[in-house]
Amino acid sequence: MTNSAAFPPTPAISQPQTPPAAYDGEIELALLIEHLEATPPSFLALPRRGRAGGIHVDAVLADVIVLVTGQEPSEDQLFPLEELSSNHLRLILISSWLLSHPFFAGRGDAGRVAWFASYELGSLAELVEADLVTRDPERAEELCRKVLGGLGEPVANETAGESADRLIAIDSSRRVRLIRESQERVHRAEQVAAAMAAGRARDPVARFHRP
Amino acid sequence: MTGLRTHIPPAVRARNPLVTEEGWLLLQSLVDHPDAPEWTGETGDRIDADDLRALDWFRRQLPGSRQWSAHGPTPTITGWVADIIASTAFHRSRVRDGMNLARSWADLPAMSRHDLVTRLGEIVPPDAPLDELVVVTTAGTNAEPLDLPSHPRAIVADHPLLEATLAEYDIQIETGPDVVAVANIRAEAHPDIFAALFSAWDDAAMVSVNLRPEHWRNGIEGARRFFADLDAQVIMGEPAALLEAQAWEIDIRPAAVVTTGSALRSGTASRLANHFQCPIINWYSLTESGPVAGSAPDGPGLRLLSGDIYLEIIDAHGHPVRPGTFGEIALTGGRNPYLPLVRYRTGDFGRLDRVNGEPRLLDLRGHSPVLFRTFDGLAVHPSEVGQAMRSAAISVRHQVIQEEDGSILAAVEPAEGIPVNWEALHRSLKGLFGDLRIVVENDSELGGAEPYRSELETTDDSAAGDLDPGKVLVDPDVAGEAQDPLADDVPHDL
Repeated sequence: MTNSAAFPPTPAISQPQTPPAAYDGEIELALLIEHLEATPPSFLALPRRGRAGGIHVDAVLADVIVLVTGQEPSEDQLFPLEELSSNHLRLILISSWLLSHPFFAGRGDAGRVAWFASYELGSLAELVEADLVTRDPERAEELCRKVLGGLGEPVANETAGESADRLIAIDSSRRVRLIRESQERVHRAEQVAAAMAAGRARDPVARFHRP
Repeated sequence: MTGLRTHIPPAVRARNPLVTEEGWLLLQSLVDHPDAPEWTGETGDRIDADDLRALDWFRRQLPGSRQWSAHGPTPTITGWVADIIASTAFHRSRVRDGMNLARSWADLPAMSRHDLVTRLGEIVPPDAPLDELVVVTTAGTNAEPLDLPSHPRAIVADHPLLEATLAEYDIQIETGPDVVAVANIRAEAHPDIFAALFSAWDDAAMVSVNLRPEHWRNGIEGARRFFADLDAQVIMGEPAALLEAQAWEIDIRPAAVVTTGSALRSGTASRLANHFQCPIINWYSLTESGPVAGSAPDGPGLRLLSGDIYLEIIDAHGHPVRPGTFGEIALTGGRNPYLPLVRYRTGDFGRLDRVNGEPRLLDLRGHSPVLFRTFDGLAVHPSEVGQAMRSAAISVRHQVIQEEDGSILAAVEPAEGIPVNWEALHRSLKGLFGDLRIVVENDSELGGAEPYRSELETTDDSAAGDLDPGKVLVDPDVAGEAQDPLADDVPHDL
């Protein structure tokens, strides 16, 4: 018995017949962020894990692949979701809403979408709570930039270098890495200071000259 | 049966893991010698069997390691630097990604002593185990003495480097637990005085002694007898301390004298050669790096000792200068696992040029050999003067001159906004020199003045001014008046 009645229904993503002409080229980041900010509650709901009720993320992901590629995904283009964390699944859901923007229709291939959902969002899920990407402007920008990058799409009105620099500046993994490196540096400095104190307490090592 | 029935104390074995009973007996005979110095501490080499194997490898590869190019570091050095950049936060933070070290060597930022003071925790590689770390201290002549991490294996590398230097002069050091390999002579107020054994030389011994009468059980006469019994093969020390040995009439004939710590002037070398009747060899060595270069019998300059240190001469901007051009010595590489040096500015100056087809360090301008005297003629090392100055005043720089009559003139260029406690400074110097006339003054234009100078006796090319040890410079009664901080010759700001 499932308790799916307690959860909103799994959202359906409908495929537009043709991409709107306005999105033939590149998309401005602001438009994508605006779309993200308008994420419907059903894409923010708890995902289904095992038999515990909630949104069927696998179904949503399959829908978005159809939308983005224009084709049904083959079985080997899907990947098992059972082992993913709840946070990772929620990021897939939110990203699916982002990818439902008409701009992406027919622009990607299933492999890229699967890789992005699995690895890129997996890394992000270790560092960022899914709720934040719709509430925090910087995290929203990060997800939008990563979605575009994941599908190989440029950002309108930016050079590739500018986009890369901006992503580096706001990238969560970089921020966390810098914090971790800083913590490691402090820890190592403390270790070295302790070893120096221990070394001072010992008899000096004999050397036959003073440099 | 040898009849050896000694019991080596655990503390001695902890300091000397490979000590033999014969070595222990030799050490005891030195410590208990009736004319021995007043030992201040005990020490050992902390070398184990693995260290000896590593040392053996270092010794064997040494002759082939000397490679040098005027066009930049060897691939061995650039490969080592690439590894260091990848592994240490300090170096990684200063280098752009993907930098081609061989092509862009001049763009590699030089590091300085200031980095060792402020970022040591980032300079020590993160994968270097710290359990065998030992502490070594810089001399502190021109700056605050600095404690640095080192490893027994790095320190013992000095042995094959000395062997190689002596081999240039056809001198082979004898080893074994029945010889004293080295006597290190110092002339200071507060030195470490000790005897030790070296596993690297099969338990041959060394002593480090100080030439102040109160540091000997039986004064100067006792010191002479001790040195005669010691029969040390090599005498080491700063030029000024070795001249003190001449003044003490320590009449010994070692196989070689090796000077360290400050520049060796030709006049000093001649005086030492006349006294000791042996080759006088100069070593260029830093606490940070270990020995780098040593003199050779076939021509001028200092020969680079080992390929694991790349020596270059750089300008004020860190760019390598043309061969033969004078500039600052910078070192890359080294054998201290805790202190990877990359273009380390030494603060010493010289030039690098070819002599007999190989690079030699020429016109080395390290610290000048200076020895100060207390009111009763005892030796004071410039590093001790520097420490006395710094203990009482934070300054940009200072200069201390001892005049012919023994007076001490100490000039201080104060740091901006930090007042100098002139009375404390005067007191500090008086504590070191005793009842000499001491003048301290404010001089905001010291600039590049040599920090230490003595008019009492010269250690350079002039042989004038020899001083009898223990000769009283100033009548204490008279000096007692002159050192009054409120006397006329003390600056008004006191």
